[in-house]
Amino acid sequence: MIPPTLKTERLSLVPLAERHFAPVRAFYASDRSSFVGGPKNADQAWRALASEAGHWALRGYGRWAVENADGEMVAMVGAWNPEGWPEREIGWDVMNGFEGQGYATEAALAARDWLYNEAGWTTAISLIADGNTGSEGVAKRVGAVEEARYTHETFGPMSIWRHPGLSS
Amino acid sequence: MIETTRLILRKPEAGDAAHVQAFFETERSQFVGGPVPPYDGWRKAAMFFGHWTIRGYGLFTVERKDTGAPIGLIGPWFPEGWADHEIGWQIWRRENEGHGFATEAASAARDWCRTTLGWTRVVSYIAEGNEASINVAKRLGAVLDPNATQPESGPCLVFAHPEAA
Repeated sequence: MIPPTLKTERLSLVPLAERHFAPVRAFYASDRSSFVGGPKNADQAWRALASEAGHWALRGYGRWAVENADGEMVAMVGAWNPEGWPEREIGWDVMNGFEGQGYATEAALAARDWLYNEAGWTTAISLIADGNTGSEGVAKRVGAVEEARYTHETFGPMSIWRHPGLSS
Repeated sequence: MIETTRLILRKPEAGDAAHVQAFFETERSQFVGGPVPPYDGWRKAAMFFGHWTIRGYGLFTVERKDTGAPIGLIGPWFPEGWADHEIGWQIWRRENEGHGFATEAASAARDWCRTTLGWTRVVSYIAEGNEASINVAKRLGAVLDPNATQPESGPCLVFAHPEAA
């Protein structure tokens, strides 16, 4: 399926495309990606981007590239539910240089609205690695609460945060 | 969609992912990055699909006309770090090996890449010891090119396909 384009006050959530590889590569090259499976070299980063794009084809939902008014990619935000995942997740990665401006929060709220209203979700979690305080801040701002511990065979120990449900 | 005597090559569909995942759990995937746990197999399937999104083309799902069953992924493959455009192939189950399906599908895919994508130099990257795949490359007329640039993912045998007739 072709992902829809969503608009917020400052941002556009658009389908992932080839032009997003440069910021994704830079993100994965940096230690900032250490909480989400990085750092990765360019080859691995490209494959990660392709997997994100292919997630839409396999599940009917996935993550978007989040662009600002200048068309710069500021984040990758949306749904993530690969094989073996504990539950359907809303995830966010803020691209290098765009931290601290509320972009992840703004995009995650738009993504959650779409997942609840258009994709049939009624609840969602976010998995956050220990020590990723920036991501915990986003979780709190979108109303999620820390609910349980979880250990993934590849990514190790983390916390499950629960989003407000559809009717909340 | 591409049609050959015995096969259909089509864009992958969501239902194909389970086959990819199952293939990557078996030793049959040992020359193409497996075996891996289901989580990684699923992500590989997503990556094969996403290659279409990012590049506009990618591996085709190959179906047998006689049974309608999908049997593997074959076609153009050009991720980051590849020195040349590649034609790749994977046949998921042993029962579909030895019938010439990979050769038939890869030949048609190669024609498609030349005419539709405008590819000129085409290679296949094959792990040393993957005799079945080496035989497919040879049947396609590809020859070992010892001077070819290796992909950044690591050393392998590079087979260069013949120029278009």
